[in-house]
Amino acid sequence: MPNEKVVQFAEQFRDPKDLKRQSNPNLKEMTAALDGLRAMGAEGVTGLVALLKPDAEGGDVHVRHCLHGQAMRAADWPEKDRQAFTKALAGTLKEDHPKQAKGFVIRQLQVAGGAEVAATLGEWLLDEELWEDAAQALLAIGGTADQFLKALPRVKGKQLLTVVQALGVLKVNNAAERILELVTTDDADLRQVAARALTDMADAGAVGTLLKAADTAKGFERTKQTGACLQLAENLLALGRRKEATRIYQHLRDTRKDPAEAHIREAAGLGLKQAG
Amino acid sequence: MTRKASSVSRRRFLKTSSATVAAVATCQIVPRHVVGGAGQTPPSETFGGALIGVGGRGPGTYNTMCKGLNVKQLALCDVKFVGRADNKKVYTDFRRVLERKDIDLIAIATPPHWHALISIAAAEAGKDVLCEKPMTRFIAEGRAVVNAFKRYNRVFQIGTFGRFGASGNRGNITTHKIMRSGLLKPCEAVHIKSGGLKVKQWSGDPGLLPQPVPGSLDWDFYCGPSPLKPYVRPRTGGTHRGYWDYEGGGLSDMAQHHFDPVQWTFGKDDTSPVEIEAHAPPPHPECTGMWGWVELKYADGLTFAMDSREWGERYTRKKERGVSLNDLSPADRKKVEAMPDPAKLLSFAEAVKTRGLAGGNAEAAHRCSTMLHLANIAIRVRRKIKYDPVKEEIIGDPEANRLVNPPTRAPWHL
Repeated sequence: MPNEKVVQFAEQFRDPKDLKRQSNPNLKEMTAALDGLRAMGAEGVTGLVALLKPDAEGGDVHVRHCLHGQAMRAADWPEKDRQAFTKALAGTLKEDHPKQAKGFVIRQLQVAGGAEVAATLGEWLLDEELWEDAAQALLAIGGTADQFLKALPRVKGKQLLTVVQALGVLKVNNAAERILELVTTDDADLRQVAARALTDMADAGAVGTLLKAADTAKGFERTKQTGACLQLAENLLALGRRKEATRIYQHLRDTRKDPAEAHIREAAGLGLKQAG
Repeated sequence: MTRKASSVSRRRFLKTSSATVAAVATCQIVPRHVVGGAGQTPPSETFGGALIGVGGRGPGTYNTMCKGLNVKQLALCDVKFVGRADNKKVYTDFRRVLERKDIDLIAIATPPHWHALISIAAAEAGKDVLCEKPMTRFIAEGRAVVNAFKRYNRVFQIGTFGRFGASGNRGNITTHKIMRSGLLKPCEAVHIKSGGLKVKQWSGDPGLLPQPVPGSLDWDFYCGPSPLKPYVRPRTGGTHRGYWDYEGGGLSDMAQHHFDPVQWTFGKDDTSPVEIEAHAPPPHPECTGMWGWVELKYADGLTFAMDSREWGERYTRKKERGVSLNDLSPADRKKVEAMPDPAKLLSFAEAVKTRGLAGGNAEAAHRCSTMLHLANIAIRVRRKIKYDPVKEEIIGDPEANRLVNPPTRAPWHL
């Protein structure tokens, strides 16, 4: 049974004039509703989540608006209150709700969640429908390398792309060895994502492999892999790894002879000057 | 321009463009990198051009790119060309367009969530770019575009041109020089944009049920770096502006037109506001919505404000105020008067030919976009935010900072 008090609060998010364009949101009533829900604690959170419906059913626009509005506010609450909110929210992922409602909950954890919900979100990295929502939430929260490292050996296809890219963004260098193997895989998307992840990590051990990948690739992949090499050189230079950066620049300057790659040669030349 | 007139013009454009593309395919265009020397300007002055994103602003953006240049259109690309693409003249995948060596110039008129990634890929492939505004969907994209165009020494011009006129106005030039001199401390100038930001018109429709994806549209590719959501028609075709996944409503769209010349006039092409505050109701998670006003303050005290005039209270905190030489001491006034006028802004064509920096270059466009993104972040989080214009981070508010650089969907990555 829906919590009637929660239903009434959520109703304050129905636009009285025109649902299509949110033409006249009533700030006073909305604010009072969010205050009321906050005062209810976990019951207010679980009550709202219980009102969420599958995408194809609809009719919960005001509930989603209300829950998101609260998540945005919760991010600014005292840490104890924020965590109480996000833990209550994360707790609903274990309950029996529609999958798309859970996706929405995960996206609210992306807004307000912290380390306290990382383990819960990590479990959803393996879900066939919600892995992308979980990955984006974990990336936004940050400091979530463990979740992606745990998922790495257990995922494939698009999920693997997502996990590898995330490990790069989070600069998880102890995943470099496994990711290096993926630079020569049969999947063109995965080759590029893997190379870029190693670039993001500024992995000095990847220089030779990435240069070879760029040299042998054709068309757009050659462009992207070459771009990854130049970015790697910049990242290495920023870390003081002048020798490895110089190796990349020299290689690209000396091997890009095609007039269509003159800009690569020039970029490498400029990089060499900056490397000293 | 009326919607009807725009639609007719677009149909005509596509019809003539297809014919042009077909005609051009029969004769060889020598790419400029083959015949050009230093700077790659070819003796024939003929450039190969492509349009990526053909709907809405596509024709206008392409035609603007061609102004002052002899351009042969070689390719049209759109994710809605499924079943029509031959990968010779008509494409669905921009990556196939960018790998063509005979294409030098790219006009980008996709929805904004694709602007940065396509711009960067174009620079990596050695192309020059004219990109429709708003430049980006979020702040970190802009910095990545700036870095790419600097790295590869390519030309970038944003698709708004008010600054070219503004920079020729004597009063604006004086204001620009006063501001760039750094002698006005604190700066009490206030510029208010009141109305005209299409807040309601370009807010989204949150109440629609998922619809079948049209057979002509590659929906996954359309979503690209943004979350893959169920298809509803308003997420495409111009009304995309009302969804956070693709843009930031009328504010990020119309305000780039308005504030781009103002940013030049006040000499803020290389920095961003440091304090931002807004009056808005709780935000919708998917759709852009109503807001009342936003105030953006720079480190020197300069204030920009936006007053929507479409919801809530009006902006009354400060009154409009310009700057003049009278605000300076006599000694400082002499210093400003002795300053040379700023260099004339280069058009896209002039920048392409001379390999110079275009007037609406990536850094300037990024700073203007940043201003609008910060406004939208303040509207969404509904608390005052502080921004570090050097690190390009929101200070002391990690949750708000998540909106500066949200994750992208693999394999798309800045």
